[in-house]
Amino acid sequence: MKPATATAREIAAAIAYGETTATATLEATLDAIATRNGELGAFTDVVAHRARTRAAAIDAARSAGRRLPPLAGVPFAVKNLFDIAGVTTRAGSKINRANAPASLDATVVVRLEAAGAVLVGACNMDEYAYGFTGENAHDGPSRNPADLTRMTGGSSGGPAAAVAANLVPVAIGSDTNGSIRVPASLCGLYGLKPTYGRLSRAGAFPFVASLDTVGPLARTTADLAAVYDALQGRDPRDPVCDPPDDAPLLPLISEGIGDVRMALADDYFLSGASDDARAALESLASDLKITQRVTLPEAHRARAAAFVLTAAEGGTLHLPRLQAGAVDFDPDTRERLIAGAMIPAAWVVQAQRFRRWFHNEVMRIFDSVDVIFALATPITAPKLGQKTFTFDGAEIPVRPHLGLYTQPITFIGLPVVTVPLKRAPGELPLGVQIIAAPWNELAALKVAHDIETRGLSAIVDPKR
Amino acid sequence: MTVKRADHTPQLAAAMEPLLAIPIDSAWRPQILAFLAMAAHNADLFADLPYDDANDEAAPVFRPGRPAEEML
Repeated sequence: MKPATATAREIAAAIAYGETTATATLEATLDAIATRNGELGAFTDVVAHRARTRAAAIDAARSAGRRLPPLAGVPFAVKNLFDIAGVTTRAGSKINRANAPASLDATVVVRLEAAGAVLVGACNMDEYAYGFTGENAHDGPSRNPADLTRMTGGSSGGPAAAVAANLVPVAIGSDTNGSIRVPASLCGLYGLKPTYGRLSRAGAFPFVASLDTVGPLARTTADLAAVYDALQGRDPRDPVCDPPDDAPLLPLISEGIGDVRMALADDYFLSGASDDARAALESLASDLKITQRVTLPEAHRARAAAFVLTAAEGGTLHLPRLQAGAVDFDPDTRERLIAGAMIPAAWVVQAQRFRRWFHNEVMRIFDSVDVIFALATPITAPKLGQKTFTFDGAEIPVRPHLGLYTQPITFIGLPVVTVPLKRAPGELPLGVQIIAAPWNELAALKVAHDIETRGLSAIVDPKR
Repeated sequence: MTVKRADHTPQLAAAMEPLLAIPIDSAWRPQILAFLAMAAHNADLFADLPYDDANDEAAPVFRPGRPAEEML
Protein backbone atom coordinates (compact mmCIF):
# COMPACT_ATOMS: atom_id res chain seq x y z
CA MET A 1 0.00 0.00 0.00
CA LYS A 2 1.25 3.49 -0.87
CA PRO A 3 -0.25 5.56 1.95
CA ALA A 4 -0.43 8.78 -0.07
CA THR A 5 -2.52 7.34 -2.89
CA ALA A 6 -4.21 4.41 -1.16
CA THR A 7 -7.94 4.08 -1.42
CA ALA A 8 -10.15 3.89 1.63
CA ARG A 9 -10.64 0.18 1.21
CA GLU A 10 -6.89 -0.43 0.77
CA ILE A 11 -6.19 1.52 3.95
CA ALA A 12 -8.84 -0.38 5.91
CA ALA A 13 -7.48 -3.71 4.65
CA ALA A 14 -3.87 -2.79 5.46
CA ILE A 15 -4.84 -1.84 9.01
CA ALA A 16 -7.00 -4.92 9.47
CA TYR A 17 -4.15 -7.19 8.32
CA GLY A 18 -1.58 -5.43 10.48
CA GLU A 19 0.45 -4.04 7.57
CA THR A 20 0.16 -0.60 9.10
CA THR A 21 -1.70 1.05 11.95
CA ALA A 22 -4.45 3.61 12.14
CA THR A 23 -2.07 5.90 14.02
CA ALA A 24 0.64 5.68 11.36
CA THR A 25 -1.93 6.29 8.63
CA LEU A 26 -3.30 9.28 10.50
CA GLU A 27 0.12 10.81 11.15
CA ALA A 28 0.96 10.53 7.43
CA THR A 29 -2.34 12.23 6.66
CA LEU A 30 -1.75 15.06 9.14
CA ASP A 31 1.77 15.55 7.74
CA ALA A 32 0.40 15.76 4.20
CA ILE A 33 -2.22 18.30 5.25
CA ALA A 34 0.39 20.40 7.06
CA THR A 35 2.66 20.30 4.02
CA ARG A 36 0.19 20.95 1.25
CA ASN A 37 -2.83 22.74 2.64
CA GLY A 38 -1.27 26.17 2.31
CA GLU A 39 -1.21 25.91 -1.47
CA LEU A 40 -4.47 23.95 -1.80
CA GLY A 41 -6.79 25.80 0.59
CA ALA A 42 -8.59 22.53 1.16
CA PHE A 43 -8.94 22.42 4.97
CA THR A 44 -10.20 25.16 7.27
CA ASP A 45 -10.19 23.08 10.47
CA VAL A 46 -8.06 20.11 11.50
CA VAL A 47 -9.14 18.03 14.49
CA ALA A 48 -5.83 16.34 15.21
CA HIS A 49 -6.42 15.53 18.89
CA ARG A 50 -9.79 13.95 18.22
CA ALA A 51 -8.36 12.01 15.28
CA ARG A 52 -5.38 10.71 17.28
CA THR A 53 -7.74 9.53 20.04
CA ARG A 54 -9.88 7.68 17.50
CA ALA A 55 -6.91 6.14 15.71
CA ALA A 56 -5.39 4.94 18.99
CA ALA A 57 -8.69 3.32 19.94
CA ILE A 58 -8.77 1.46 16.62
CA ASP A 59 -5.19 0.24 17.08
CA ALA A 60 -6.03 -0.86 20.62
CA ALA A 61 -9.08 -2.74 19.38
CA ARG A 62 -6.99 -4.60 16.82
CA SER A 63 -4.31 -5.41 19.37
CA ALA A 64 -7.03 -6.84 21.61
CA GLY A 65 -8.15 -9.10 18.77
CA ARG A 66 -11.48 -7.40 18.23
CA ARG A 67 -13.04 -7.42 14.78
CA LEU A 68 -12.66 -4.01 13.14
CA PRO A 69 -15.50 -2.21 11.37
CA PRO A 70 -15.30 -1.88 7.56
CA LEU A 71 -13.64 1.54 7.35
CA ALA A 72 -11.45 1.23 10.44
CA GLY A 73 -8.63 3.76 10.35
CA VAL A 74 -9.66 5.44 7.08
CA PRO A 75 -9.07 9.21 7.32
CA PHE A 76 -11.91 11.35 6.05
CA ALA A 77 -12.90 15.00 5.89
CA VAL A 78 -16.20 16.86 5.75
CA LYS A 79 -17.25 20.13 4.18
CA ASN A 80 -17.25 22.79 6.88
CA LEU A 81 -21.04 23.03 6.94
CA PHE A 82 -21.21 19.72 8.86
CA ASP A 83 -21.31 19.92 12.65
CA ILE A 84 -18.27 18.59 14.47
CA ALA A 85 -18.72 18.58 18.24
CA GLY A 86 -16.48 21.23 19.76
CA VAL A 87 -15.90 23.05 16.45
CA THR A 88 -17.84 26.08 15.26
CA THR A 89 -19.67 25.26 12.03
CA ARG A 90 -18.65 28.09 9.74
CA ALA A 91 -20.47 26.98 6.57
CA GLY A 92 -17.98 29.02 4.59
CA SER A 93 -19.03 32.22 6.31
CA LYS A 94 -17.49 34.85 8.55
CA ILE A 95 -20.78 35.43 10.36
CA ASN A 96 -21.19 31.89 11.71
CA ARG A 97 -17.77 32.01 13.35
CA ALA A 98 -19.40 33.97 16.17
CA ASN A 99 -21.63 30.96 16.91
CA ALA A 100 -20.95 28.55 19.76
CA PRO A 101 -19.15 25.34 18.82
CA ALA A 102 -21.42 22.49 17.77
CA SER A 103 -22.52 20.29 20.65
CA LEU A 104 -23.23 17.22 18.51
CA ASP A 105 -21.66 15.66 15.45
CA ALA A 106 -23.56 15.64 12.17
CA THR A 107 -25.10 12.27 11.36
CA VAL A 108 -22.60 11.69 8.53
CA VAL A 109 -19.77 12.05 11.04
CA VAL A 110 -21.46 9.78 13.58
CA ARG A 111 -22.09 7.06 10.99
CA LEU A 112 -18.66 7.15 9.36
CA GLU A 113 -16.97 7.02 12.74
CA ALA A 114 -19.23 4.11 13.70
CA ALA A 115 -17.84 2.40 10.61
CA GLY A 116 -14.34 3.03 11.93
CA ALA A 117 -13.33 6.01 9.79
CA VAL A 118 -11.30 8.78 11.39
CA LEU A 119 -12.40 12.38 10.95
CA VAL A 120 -9.38 14.64 10.36
CA GLY A 121 -11.04 17.97 9.68
CA ALA A 122 -13.42 20.27 7.89
CA CYS A 123 -12.98 21.69 4.41
CA ASN A 124 -13.35 24.98 2.57
CA MET A 125 -16.48 25.85 0.59
CA ASP A 126 -18.35 28.66 -1.12
CA GLU A 127 -20.03 30.83 1.48
CA TYR A 128 -23.24 29.15 2.68
CA ALA A 129 -22.90 26.75 -0.29
CA TYR A 130 -24.17 29.43 -2.70
CA GLY A 131 -21.72 29.12 -5.58
CA PHE A 132 -20.12 26.74 -8.04
CA THR A 133 -16.56 28.10 -7.94
CA GLY A 134 -14.92 26.98 -4.68
CA GLU A 135 -13.83 30.57 -4.07
CA ASN A 136 -14.35 32.10 -0.65
CA ALA A 137 -13.75 35.73 0.35
CA HIS A 138 -12.98 34.83 3.96
CA ASP A 139 -10.84 31.69 3.70
CA GLY A 140 -9.42 32.12 0.22
CA PRO A 141 -10.13 29.77 -2.66
CA SER A 142 -9.70 26.05 -2.71
CA ARG A 143 -7.29 25.30 -5.56
CA ASN A 144 -7.58 22.58 -8.15
CA PRO A 145 -4.87 19.94 -7.58
CA ALA A 146 -4.68 19.34 -11.34
CA ASP A 147 -3.71 23.01 -11.86
CA LEU A 148 -3.36 25.23 -8.82
CA THR A 149 -4.21 28.36 -10.83
CA ARG A 150 -7.70 27.01 -11.48
CA MET A 151 -10.96 26.61 -9.60
CA THR A 152 -11.95 23.38 -7.87
CA GLY A 153 -15.56 24.11 -8.56
CA GLY A 154 -18.00 24.30 -5.68
CA SER A 155 -19.49 24.54 -3.41
CA SER A 156 -17.77 21.40 -2.06
CA GLY A 157 -14.44 22.70 -3.35
CA GLY A 158 -12.34 21.97 -0.27
CA PRO A 159 -13.48 18.34 0.01
CA ALA A 160 -12.72 17.84 -3.69
CA ALA A 161 -9.27 19.42 -3.37
CA ALA A 162 -8.50 17.26 -0.32
CA VAL A 163 -9.39 14.04 -2.13
CA ALA A 164 -7.90 14.94 -5.52
CA ALA A 165 -4.61 15.94 -3.88
CA ASN A 166 -4.48 12.61 -2.01
CA LEU A 167 -4.72 14.25 1.40
CA VAL A 168 -7.61 11.94 2.31
CA PRO A 169 -9.17 9.09 0.30
CA VAL A 170 -12.75 10.24 0.85
CA ALA A 171 -14.62 13.37 1.90
CA ILE A 172 -18.25 14.30 2.43
CA GLY A 173 -19.84 17.19 0.58
CA SER A 174 -23.31 18.52 0.06
CA ASP A 175 -25.15 18.97 -3.23
CA THR A 176 -28.08 21.36 -3.59
CA ASN A 177 -27.70 22.25 -7.26
CA GLY A 178 -24.50 20.46 -8.20
CA SER A 179 -22.10 21.11 -5.36
CA ILE A 180 -20.69 17.58 -5.34
CA ARG A 181 -20.89 17.01 -9.10
CA VAL A 182 -19.31 20.27 -10.27
CA PRO A 183 -16.14 19.92 -8.17
CA ALA A 184 -16.00 16.19 -8.94
CA SER A 185 -16.01 17.14 -12.62
CA LEU A 186 -13.45 19.92 -12.41
CA CYS A 187 -11.09 18.01 -10.10
CA GLY A 188 -11.48 14.63 -11.81
CA LEU A 189 -13.11 12.58 -9.05
CA TYR A 190 -15.99 10.21 -8.50
CA GLY A 191 -18.88 11.80 -6.64
CA LEU A 192 -22.24 10.51 -5.48
CA LYS A 193 -25.26 12.76 -5.10
CA PRO A 194 -27.92 10.46 -3.68
CA THR A 195 -31.66 10.59 -4.16
CA TYR A 196 -33.24 13.48 -2.27
CA GLY A 197 -34.16 12.00 1.12
CA ARG A 198 -31.74 9.07 0.92
CA LEU A 199 -28.96 10.20 3.32
CA SER A 200 -29.40 12.19 6.49
CA ARG A 201 -28.62 15.90 6.45
CA ALA A 202 -28.93 16.26 10.22
CA GLY A 203 -26.20 18.50 11.55
CA ALA A 204 -25.49 19.98 8.14
CA PHE A 205 -26.01 23.74 7.91
CA PRO A 206 -28.93 24.05 5.46
CA PHE A 207 -29.12 25.97 2.21
CA VAL A 208 -32.26 25.00 0.30
CA ALA A 209 -34.29 22.48 2.28
CA SER A 210 -36.28 21.50 -0.83
CA LEU A 211 -33.13 20.41 -2.64
CA ASP A 212 -30.29 19.73 -0.17
CA THR A 213 -28.53 16.35 -0.28
CA VAL A 214 -25.22 15.07 1.08
CA GLY A 215 -22.79 12.50 -0.31
CA PRO A 216 -19.21 11.34 -0.79
CA LEU A 217 -16.33 12.26 -3.11
CA ALA A 218 -13.66 9.61 -3.70
CA ARG A 219 -11.00 8.36 -6.09
CA THR A 220 -12.74 5.03 -6.76
CA THR A 221 -16.30 3.85 -7.16
CA ALA A 222 -15.77 1.14 -4.54
CA ASP A 223 -14.86 3.82 -2.01
CA LEU A 224 -17.96 5.78 -2.98
CA ALA A 225 -20.08 2.69 -2.37
CA ALA A 226 -18.34 1.78 0.88
CA VAL A 227 -18.88 5.26 2.31
CA TYR A 228 -22.43 5.43 0.98
CA ASP A 229 -23.22 2.13 2.69
CA ALA A 230 -21.89 3.43 5.99
CA LEU A 231 -24.11 6.53 5.67
CA GLN A 232 -27.33 4.76 4.77
CA GLY A 233 -30.39 4.45 7.00
CA ARG A 234 -33.29 6.49 8.34
CA ASP A 235 -32.60 9.30 10.76
CA PRO A 236 -35.25 10.89 12.98
CA ARG A 237 -33.06 14.01 13.12
CA ASP A 238 -33.78 14.67 9.42
CA PRO A 239 -37.50 14.45 8.57
CA VAL A 240 -36.72 14.23 4.85
CA CYS A 241 -34.49 11.18 5.31
CA ASP A 242 -36.96 8.37 4.74
CA PRO A 243 -35.50 5.93 2.19
CA PRO A 244 -37.48 2.83 1.15
CA ASP A 245 -34.50 0.54 1.72
CA ASP A 246 -30.92 0.56 2.97
CA ALA A 247 -29.33 -2.55 1.50
CA PRO A 248 -25.53 -2.35 1.15
CA LEU A 249 -24.48 -1.67 -2.45
CA LEU A 250 -20.75 -2.36 -2.34
CA PRO A 251 -21.20 -6.14 -2.81
CA LEU A 252 -23.41 -5.46 -5.86
CA ILE A 253 -21.57 -2.84 -7.91
CA SER A 254 -19.31 -5.35 -9.67
CA GLU A 255 -22.17 -7.55 -10.88
CA GLY A 256 -21.85 -6.18 -14.41
CA ILE A 257 -24.12 -4.00 -16.50
CA GLY A 258 -25.42 -6.44 -19.06
CA ASP A 259 -29.02 -5.68 -18.13
CA VAL A 260 -28.63 -1.93 -17.69
CA ARG A 261 -30.23 0.21 -20.40
CA MET A 262 -28.18 3.33 -21.11
CA ALA A 263 -28.91 6.51 -23.03
CA LEU A 264 -27.32 9.87 -23.68
CA ALA A 265 -29.19 13.07 -22.82
CA ASP A 266 -29.32 15.37 -25.82
CA ASP A 267 -30.81 18.78 -26.51
CA TYR A 268 -30.29 20.97 -23.40
CA PHE A 269 -27.50 18.77 -22.05
CA LEU A 270 -25.36 19.07 -25.18
CA SER A 271 -26.15 22.64 -26.12
CA GLY A 272 -23.50 25.14 -25.25
CA ALA A 273 -20.87 22.66 -24.09
CA SER A 274 -17.32 23.20 -25.29
CA ASP A 275 -16.24 21.13 -28.29
CA ASP A 276 -13.75 19.40 -26.04
CA ALA A 277 -16.45 18.42 -23.53
CA ARG A 278 -18.80 17.14 -26.22
CA ALA A 279 -16.05 15.11 -27.83
CA ALA A 280 -15.08 13.51 -24.52
CA LEU A 281 -18.66 12.53 -23.84
CA GLU A 282 -19.25 11.19 -27.34
CA SER A 283 -16.07 9.14 -27.07
CA LEU A 284 -17.30 7.49 -23.87
CA ALA A 285 -20.71 6.87 -25.41
CA SER A 286 -19.02 5.23 -28.38
CA ASP A 287 -16.88 3.02 -26.13
CA LEU A 288 -20.00 1.95 -24.26
CA LYS A 289 -21.94 1.46 -27.51
CA ILE A 290 -24.65 3.83 -26.35
CA THR A 291 -26.84 4.59 -29.32
CA GLN A 292 -30.05 5.75 -27.68
CA ARG A 293 -30.63 9.47 -27.19
CA VAL A 294 -33.25 10.85 -24.81
CA THR A 295 -34.59 14.35 -24.35
CA LEU A 296 -35.50 15.56 -20.88
CA PRO A 297 -38.35 17.86 -21.86
CA GLU A 298 -38.21 21.49 -20.82
CA ALA A 299 -34.93 20.98 -18.98
CA HIS A 300 -34.16 24.68 -19.33
CA ARG A 301 -37.35 25.47 -17.43
CA ALA A 302 -36.40 22.92 -14.76
CA ARG A 303 -33.09 24.66 -14.35
CA ALA A 304 -34.88 28.01 -14.16
CA ALA A 305 -37.24 26.73 -11.47
CA ALA A 306 -34.35 25.31 -9.44
CA PHE A 307 -32.65 28.69 -9.73
CA VAL A 308 -35.72 30.50 -8.34
CA LEU A 309 -36.30 27.99 -5.52
CA THR A 310 -32.67 28.25 -4.53
CA ALA A 311 -32.61 32.03 -4.51
CA ALA A 312 -35.88 32.34 -2.59
CA GLU A 313 -35.25 29.66 0.02
CA GLY A 314 -31.63 30.72 0.46
CA GLY A 315 -32.55 34.39 0.74
CA THR A 316 -35.26 33.65 3.27
CA LEU A 317 -33.01 31.38 5.34
CA HIS A 318 -30.40 34.10 5.62
CA LEU A 319 -32.73 37.08 6.06
CA PRO A 320 -31.97 37.54 9.78
CA ARG A 321 -28.24 37.49 9.07
CA LEU A 322 -28.66 39.92 6.19
CA GLN A 323 -30.63 42.26 8.43
CA ALA A 324 -28.07 42.07 11.22
CA GLY A 325 -24.84 42.14 9.26
CA ALA A 326 -25.05 42.18 5.50
CA VAL A 327 -21.60 43.76 5.27
CA ASP A 328 -20.07 40.60 6.73
CA PHE A 329 -21.20 38.39 3.83
CA ASP A 330 -18.99 37.46 0.92
CA PRO A 331 -19.99 40.11 -1.67
CA ASP A 332 -20.47 37.41 -4.28
CA THR A 333 -23.07 35.77 -2.04
CA ARG A 334 -24.69 38.77 -0.40
CA GLU A 335 -26.30 40.43 -3.39
CA ARG A 336 -27.72 37.14 -4.66
CA LEU A 337 -29.24 36.34 -1.25
CA ILE A 338 -30.76 39.81 -0.92
CA ALA A 339 -32.30 39.49 -4.38
CA GLY A 340 -33.54 36.03 -3.42
CA ALA A 341 -35.30 37.40 -0.35
CA MET A 342 -37.22 39.76 -2.66
CA ILE A 343 -38.71 36.98 -4.80
CA PRO A 344 -42.53 36.83 -4.76
CA ALA A 345 -44.15 33.74 -3.23
CA ALA A 346 -46.01 33.04 -6.48
CA TRP A 347 -42.77 32.29 -8.29
CA VAL A 348 -41.74 29.83 -5.58
CA VAL A 349 -45.03 27.97 -5.48
CA GLN A 350 -45.14 27.71 -9.26
CA ALA A 351 -41.61 26.36 -9.22
CA GLN A 352 -42.72 23.60 -6.86
CA ARG A 353 -45.66 22.79 -9.13
CA PHE A 354 -43.38 22.63 -12.14
CA ARG A 355 -41.15 20.29 -10.15
CA ARG A 356 -43.79 17.56 -10.10
CA TRP A 357 -44.59 18.08 -13.80
CA PHE A 358 -40.94 17.73 -14.79
CA HIS A 359 -40.49 14.75 -12.47
CA ASN A 360 -43.39 12.93 -14.12
CA GLU A 361 -42.05 13.60 -17.61
CA VAL A 362 -38.59 12.29 -16.72
CA MET A 363 -40.02 9.24 -14.99
CA ARG A 364 -41.60 8.29 -18.31
CA ILE A 365 -38.10 8.15 -19.79
CA PHE A 366 -37.06 5.74 -17.07
CA ASP A 367 -39.70 3.30 -18.34
CA SER A 368 -37.29 2.42 -21.16
CA VAL A 369 -33.91 3.51 -19.78
CA ASP A 370 -32.05 2.76 -16.53
CA VAL A 371 -29.34 5.39 -16.62
CA ILE A 372 -28.89 8.64 -18.51
CA PHE A 373 -25.50 10.15 -19.33
CA ALA A 374 -25.03 13.93 -19.33
CA LEU A 375 -22.01 16.17 -18.93
CA ALA A 376 -21.50 17.40 -15.38
CA THR A 377 -20.05 20.75 -16.46
CA PRO A 378 -20.01 22.46 -19.86
CA ILE A 379 -16.33 23.38 -19.50
CA THR A 380 -13.18 22.37 -17.63
CA ALA A 381 -11.96 24.30 -14.60
CA PRO A 382 -11.92 28.09 -15.11
CA LYS A 383 -9.02 30.16 -13.86
CA LEU A 384 -9.33 31.41 -10.28
CA GLY A 385 -10.99 34.82 -10.36
CA GLN A 386 -12.51 34.23 -13.79
CA LYS A 387 -15.95 35.83 -13.82
CA THR A 388 -17.47 34.64 -17.12
CA PHE A 389 -17.23 31.80 -19.62
CA THR A 390 -18.50 31.28 -23.13
CA PHE A 391 -21.71 29.29 -23.41
CA ASP A 392 -23.61 29.02 -26.68
CA GLY A 393 -21.69 31.99 -28.02
CA ALA A 394 -22.51 34.26 -25.09
CA GLU A 395 -20.43 35.26 -22.10
CA ILE A 396 -22.24 34.21 -18.91
CA PRO A 397 -21.25 34.47 -15.21
CA VAL A 398 -19.29 31.54 -13.82
CA ARG A 399 -20.55 31.51 -10.25
CA PRO A 400 -24.26 30.84 -10.88
CA HIS A 401 -23.89 28.94 -14.16
CA LEU A 402 -21.22 26.25 -13.86
CA GLY A 403 -24.03 23.97 -12.70
CA LEU A 404 -26.22 24.43 -15.76
CA TYR A 405 -26.24 20.69 -16.40
CA THR A 406 -26.59 19.59 -12.79
CA GLN A 407 -29.45 21.83 -11.66
CA PRO A 408 -32.29 20.21 -13.62
CA ILE A 409 -31.36 16.84 -12.12
CA THR A 410 -31.24 18.04 -8.52
CA PHE A 411 -34.56 19.76 -9.10
CA ILE A 412 -36.32 16.38 -9.14
CA GLY A 413 -34.07 14.67 -6.64
CA LEU A 414 -32.51 12.00 -8.86
CA PRO A 415 -29.41 10.06 -7.78
CA VAL A 416 -26.26 10.73 -9.80
CA VAL A 417 -22.75 9.34 -9.85
CA THR A 418 -20.21 11.65 -11.45
CA VAL A 419 -17.39 9.88 -13.27
CA PRO A 420 -14.12 11.50 -14.43
CA LEU A 421 -13.78 11.13 -18.19
CA LYS A 422 -10.55 9.74 -19.57
CA ARG A 423 -8.41 12.66 -20.68
CA ALA A 424 -5.34 13.07 -22.86
CA PRO A 425 -2.09 14.10 -21.16
CA GLY A 426 -2.23 17.77 -20.25
CA GLU A 427 -5.99 18.03 -20.56
CA LEU A 428 -7.91 19.23 -17.53
CA PRO A 429 -10.42 16.94 -15.80
CA LEU A 430 -14.04 16.78 -16.86
CA GLY A 431 -16.86 14.62 -15.53
CA VAL A 432 -20.01 12.96 -16.76
CA GLN A 433 -23.19 12.48 -14.76
CA ILE A 434 -24.69 9.00 -14.66
CA ILE A 435 -28.29 9.70 -13.69
CA ALA A 436 -30.69 7.04 -12.41
CA ALA A 437 -34.32 6.86 -11.32
CA PRO A 438 -35.18 7.77 -7.73
CA TRP A 439 -33.69 5.35 -5.16
CA ASN A 440 -31.74 3.47 -7.84
CA GLU A 441 -28.24 4.51 -6.77
CA LEU A 442 -27.21 0.94 -7.55
CA ALA A 443 -27.69 1.34 -11.31
CA ALA A 444 -25.56 4.48 -11.43
CA LEU A 445 -22.85 2.93 -9.25
CA LYS A 446 -22.76 -0.28 -11.30
CA VAL A 447 -22.31 1.63 -14.54
CA ALA A 448 -19.69 3.91 -13.00
CA HIS A 449 -17.82 0.89 -11.64
CA ASP A 450 -17.93 -0.82 -15.02
CA ILE A 451 -16.54 2.29 -16.73
CA GLU A 452 -13.78 2.49 -14.13
CA THR A 453 -12.76 -1.18 -14.34
CA ARG A 454 -12.70 -1.06 -18.15
CA GLY A 455 -10.29 1.87 -18.02
CA LEU A 456 -12.71 4.31 -19.64
CA SER A 457 -12.43 6.81 -16.79
CA ALA A 458 -9.38 8.16 -15.02
CA ILE A 459 -8.56 10.36 -12.10
CA VAL A 460 -5.93 13.01 -12.80
CA ASP A 461 -2.59 12.96 -10.98
CA PRO A 462 -2.26 16.05 -8.84
CA LYS A 463 0.47 18.56 -9.62
CA ARG A 464 3.12 18.68 -6.89
CA MET B 1 -46.84 29.42 -23.39
CA THR B 2 -44.33 31.74 -21.76
CA VAL B 3 -45.61 35.22 -21.02
CA LYS B 4 -42.91 37.79 -21.62
CA ARG B 5 -43.44 40.53 -19.09
CA ALA B 6 -41.94 43.98 -18.90
CA ASP B 7 -39.04 44.17 -16.50
CA HIS B 8 -40.55 45.35 -13.23
CA THR B 9 -37.64 44.26 -11.08
CA PRO B 10 -36.60 47.83 -10.13
CA GLN B 11 -40.11 48.44 -8.78
CA LEU B 12 -40.14 45.05 -7.05
CA ALA B 13 -36.80 45.74 -5.39
CA ALA B 14 -37.89 49.22 -4.35
CA ALA B 15 -41.08 47.86 -2.80
CA MET B 16 -39.38 44.97 -1.01
CA GLU B 17 -36.37 46.82 0.35
CA PRO B 18 -38.17 48.57 3.26
CA LEU B 19 -40.13 45.40 4.03
CA LEU B 20 -36.99 43.30 4.33
CA ALA B 21 -35.23 45.84 6.56
CA ILE B 22 -31.84 44.95 5.20
CA PRO B 23 -29.41 47.88 5.28
CA ILE B 24 -28.48 47.96 1.58
CA ASP B 25 -25.42 49.87 0.45
CA SER B 26 -26.05 51.70 -2.82
CA ALA B 27 -23.00 49.99 -4.32
CA TRP B 28 -24.77 46.64 -3.98
CA ARG B 29 -27.90 47.66 -5.86
CA PRO B 30 -26.74 47.01 -9.44
CA GLN B 31 -25.90 43.38 -8.62
CA ILE B 32 -29.11 42.91 -6.64
CA LEU B 33 -31.15 44.22 -9.55
CA ALA B 34 -29.23 42.13 -12.05
CA PHE B 35 -29.81 38.98 -10.06
CA LEU B 36 -33.46 39.77 -9.45
CA ALA B 37 -33.89 40.34 -13.17
CA MET B 38 -32.27 36.97 -13.79
CA ALA B 39 -34.71 35.37 -11.35
CA ALA B 40 -37.65 37.14 -13.03
CA HIS B 41 -36.54 35.88 -16.42
CA ASN B 42 -36.31 32.36 -15.02
CA ALA B 43 -39.72 32.62 -13.37
CA ASP B 44 -41.21 33.64 -16.72
CA LEU B 45 -40.13 30.26 -18.06
CA PHE B 46 -42.40 28.23 -15.78
CA ALA B 47 -44.81 30.57 -14.01
CA ASP B 48 -47.59 30.49 -16.61
CA LEU B 49 -47.72 26.85 -17.61
CA PRO B 50 -51.23 25.34 -17.40
CA TYR B 51 -51.01 23.67 -14.01
CA ASP B 52 -53.87 21.56 -12.75
CA ASP B 53 -55.38 22.78 -9.48
CA ALA B 54 -54.61 19.37 -8.00
CA ASN B 55 -50.93 19.89 -8.75
CA ASP B 56 -50.14 22.03 -5.71
CA GLU B 57 -47.23 20.49 -3.88
CA ALA B 58 -44.86 22.23 -1.53
CA ALA B 59 -41.55 20.71 -0.52
CA PRO B 60 -42.03 17.46 1.42
CA VAL B 61 -40.62 18.67 4.70
CA PHE B 62 -43.55 19.56 6.94
CA ARG B 63 -45.23 16.57 8.53
CA PRO B 64 -48.16 17.14 10.85
CA GLY B 65 -48.64 15.08 13.97
CA ARG B 66 -45.03 14.92 15.05
CA PRO B 67 -43.63 17.19 17.75
CA ALA B 68 -40.89 19.52 16.57
CA GLU B 69 -38.50 18.27 19.25
CA GLU B 70 -38.60 14.84 17.64
CA MET B 71 -36.86 16.38 14.68
CA LEU B 72 -33.97 17.75 16.74
